Amino acid sequence: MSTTSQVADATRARPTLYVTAAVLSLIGLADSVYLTVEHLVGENAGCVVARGCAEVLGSNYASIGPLPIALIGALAYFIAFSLALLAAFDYRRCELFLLLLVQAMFAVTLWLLLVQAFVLHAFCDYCLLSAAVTVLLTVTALTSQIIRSR
Amino acid sequence: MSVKSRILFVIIGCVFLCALGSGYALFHYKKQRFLNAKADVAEAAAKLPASAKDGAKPPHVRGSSSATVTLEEFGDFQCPPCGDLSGVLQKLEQDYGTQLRFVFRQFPMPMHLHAMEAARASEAAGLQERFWEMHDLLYQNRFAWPRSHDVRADLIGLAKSLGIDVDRFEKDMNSQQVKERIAADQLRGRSLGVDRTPILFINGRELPVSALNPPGLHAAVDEALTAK
Repeated sequence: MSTTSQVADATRARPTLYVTAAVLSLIGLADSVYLTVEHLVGENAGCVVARGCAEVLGSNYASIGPLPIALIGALAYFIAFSLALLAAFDYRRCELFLLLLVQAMFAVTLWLLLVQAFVLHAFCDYCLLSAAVTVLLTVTALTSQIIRSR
Repeated sequence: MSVKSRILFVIIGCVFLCALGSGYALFHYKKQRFLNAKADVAEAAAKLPASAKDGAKPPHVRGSSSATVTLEEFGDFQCPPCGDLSGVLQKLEQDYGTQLRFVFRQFPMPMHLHAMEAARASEAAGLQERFWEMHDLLYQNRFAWPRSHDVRADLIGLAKSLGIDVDRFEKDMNSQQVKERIAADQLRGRSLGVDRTPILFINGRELPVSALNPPGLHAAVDEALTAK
């Protein structure tokens, strides 16, 4: 295959990557909305796989003042969805904003994972799902940027 | 604005409204379900005789008899939040030592298919002085035994691992004594307005669900200690 056609294939893959990022953001949004509701109702979501929902979701790290962290997450996922969708349809400026946003989300996710592992010594299913979504979002956004820069 | 842009912004708007709407609907549903259940239980509790408040005698107690604070839990061995909370409560018992006494009450929920069988297993183990070991083991293995194709065999296996006389254990699981103890705890729960699990009382005062976590429980125990 010639270099020109390889570049053309890679360019065609970019919208697909952004659509994938939009779908991932929707999964993260649903997860965060559910956790926000549980927090506001005052219920403790039960874990099925991990064993520390009560410890993690009930800890001081689950909110910043009166604001549940899940609500901030929902907002971030919604913005990520919007930017990914616009980027998929060639809004170039949104690509940069998306990259910056997912990098910030990745940093927060990493911090929250460290808190779960070394401070709380417990993990929760919903937080791990959100972490997995954020990691995939970061990989998707970075891959798309690498393709663009070629 | 081009047609493409308009369509994209309509999609984004729809997702925003869907997220907001589904969040509100879920919140409203959960709140309403909570209020309805609370009202039903309060109505039923009002009709119960005063003796219903006693629960199984003697209750399962862990900790010092002279403890200032009594923490009473209504639990279900198959309920995920109860399982999550079991580790938190064990840590709490360690933190407060002789100042805290822990009482466990059986409250198997009908929606959990194997909760009643597990409650009977723990009571049968209790008849051989192994209630707390079985209690801890059921929660530690909560991801295994409820998913087994033969739950009873798994429960017997757990009992065997504790060195329990299995023949007696099997007989006791079906005994009237065990059934009556569970029924008595459930009756006590209903008389106190318990409608779900886990529900915790500290010195007779029900804790809000939002306090069922390490900082919330520490604050509640500290408050009970200073109130004495």
